[in-house]
Amino acid sequence: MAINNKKAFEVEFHWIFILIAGAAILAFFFVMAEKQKTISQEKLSLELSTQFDAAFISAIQSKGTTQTMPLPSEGIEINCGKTQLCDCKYTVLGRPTSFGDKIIFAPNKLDDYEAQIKTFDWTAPFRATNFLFMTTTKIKYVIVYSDTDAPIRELEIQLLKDLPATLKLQTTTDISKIVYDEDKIRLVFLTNPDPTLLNTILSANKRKDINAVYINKQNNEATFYNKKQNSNSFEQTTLKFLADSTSADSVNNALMYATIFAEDPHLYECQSKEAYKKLSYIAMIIHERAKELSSQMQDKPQCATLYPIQTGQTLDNLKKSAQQASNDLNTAGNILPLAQQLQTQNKELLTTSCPVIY
Amino acid sequence: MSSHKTQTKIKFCKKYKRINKTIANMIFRNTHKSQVKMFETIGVLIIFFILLSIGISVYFMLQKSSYAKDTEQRRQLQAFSTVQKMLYMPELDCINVFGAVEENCADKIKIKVFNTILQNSDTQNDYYQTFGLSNVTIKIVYPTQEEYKIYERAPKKYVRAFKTQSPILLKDPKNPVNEQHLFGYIEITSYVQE
Repeated sequence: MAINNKKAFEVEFHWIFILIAGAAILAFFFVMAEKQKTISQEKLSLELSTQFDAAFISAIQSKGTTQTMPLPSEGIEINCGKTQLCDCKYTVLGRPTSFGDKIIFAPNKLDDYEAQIKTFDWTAPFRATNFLFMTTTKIKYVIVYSDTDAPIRELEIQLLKDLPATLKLQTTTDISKIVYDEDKIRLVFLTNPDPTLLNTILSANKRKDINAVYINKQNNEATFYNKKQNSNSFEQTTLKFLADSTSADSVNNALMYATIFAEDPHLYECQSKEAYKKLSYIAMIIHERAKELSSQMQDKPQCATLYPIQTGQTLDNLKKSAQQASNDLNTAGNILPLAQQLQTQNKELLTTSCPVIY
Repeated sequence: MSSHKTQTKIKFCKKYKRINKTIANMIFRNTHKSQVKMFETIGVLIIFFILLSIGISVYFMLQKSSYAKDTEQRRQLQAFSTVQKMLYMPELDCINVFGAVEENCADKIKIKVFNTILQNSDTQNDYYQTFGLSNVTIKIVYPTQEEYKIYERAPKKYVRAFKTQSPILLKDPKNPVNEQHLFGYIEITSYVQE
């Protein structure tokens, strides 16, 4: 009897032992697999972030070009944080990467198999930086304009010329003719939209992701309409941009076009401020360069007088105004007359055979 | 009669003792055997786990070295990107009389000015996003020999340093009619911290 009991105990213990050891081995391999998964994901996201960064850098250098860039299946998320601080980054496979010195205007999420990238150089009146506009063909852009208003018609023609040809675009003068054939639609109003009409559009297309922007070129301001959370109405944010509506064209339309691509007004504000900061540095360099040039123009008295008296003051004011705009976008308008003035002075230098300032 | 009884008792006792001994022996031998078996199994398991941990540590060491290689490649790519960026930076670019940007060219006066404004710590902090932990130097090699240390931010302690060089033309814009071009190169040393 005793022998049988012992044997039974031995057999039972044997199985318990196998179970415990098996569970331990299994747990060990599960932990290993999980760790390996995390490591490979981390590695992949790091590799992708590096590749994206390199692609952005090379894209930003080739100004005025449109390129396509393959995207991971999870897409890219773009945001500048929720606080007033500008912490702009793009997230690839859960890994956030800072924009760094790149100025990017894009929707909050790019979830297509490839992104459309357009590079635009920003001049005010000299080249200050290059902008990178990003979007996908899954987002439809609808330009709503008025054919009775000549400047607006002109702007519409200009937009069609400058926007990437690969963009999914519809132009209309009648809001009722908009075709909602994509899940995401960005309405670009060149005339002031009726807010109740906008809310009606939103209610009629509850399943669609619709947002809008109204570009008021006359006042150099853009109103962003973004859907409020858990509500069928739009939240409005108006921000100033810098563009030259006169024929002088001292400042190009890059910052105005940026309002079309940036869905989040916070991103637009942050990136515009960064652009103005760059402008202030370039103005400082060009100012110092003009001073240096004037000191070396002893043999050309007609040039020596032009640099410090005229351009010196304008460049200094431009630098200060750009610095101010990098803190408050509402002051950006002060840059325009200075840019126009500088453009005239540069032309004058050119006609008097003096080295140009930019 | 009584002696016969006693003898039988003794015989029975002896027999009983023998049986007892045999049973005890049997039980003891069985317990001993199972103990040995259990120790054997535990031993096998211990050896299995030791071998597994050696294998895993070797695997992770290899992973670590491949990660270090990736980081190294990334740094090299970053250094190369910085050179690329520098060739197109409006802070340094050359503009011809028609206002067009000249490729692979830096303005000599702009270099001097940029060098001066980067002495300011706030400006240097703003340009950290562009250059990071690196030293940026522009060296003119022909017809004169000059050196401009544009940006210097080498960490006190670093694991590795990568040097990237790229040829560049330098323009002296003093005379817009007879423009003088100089030959030189940009040298960027990127540092990897621990």
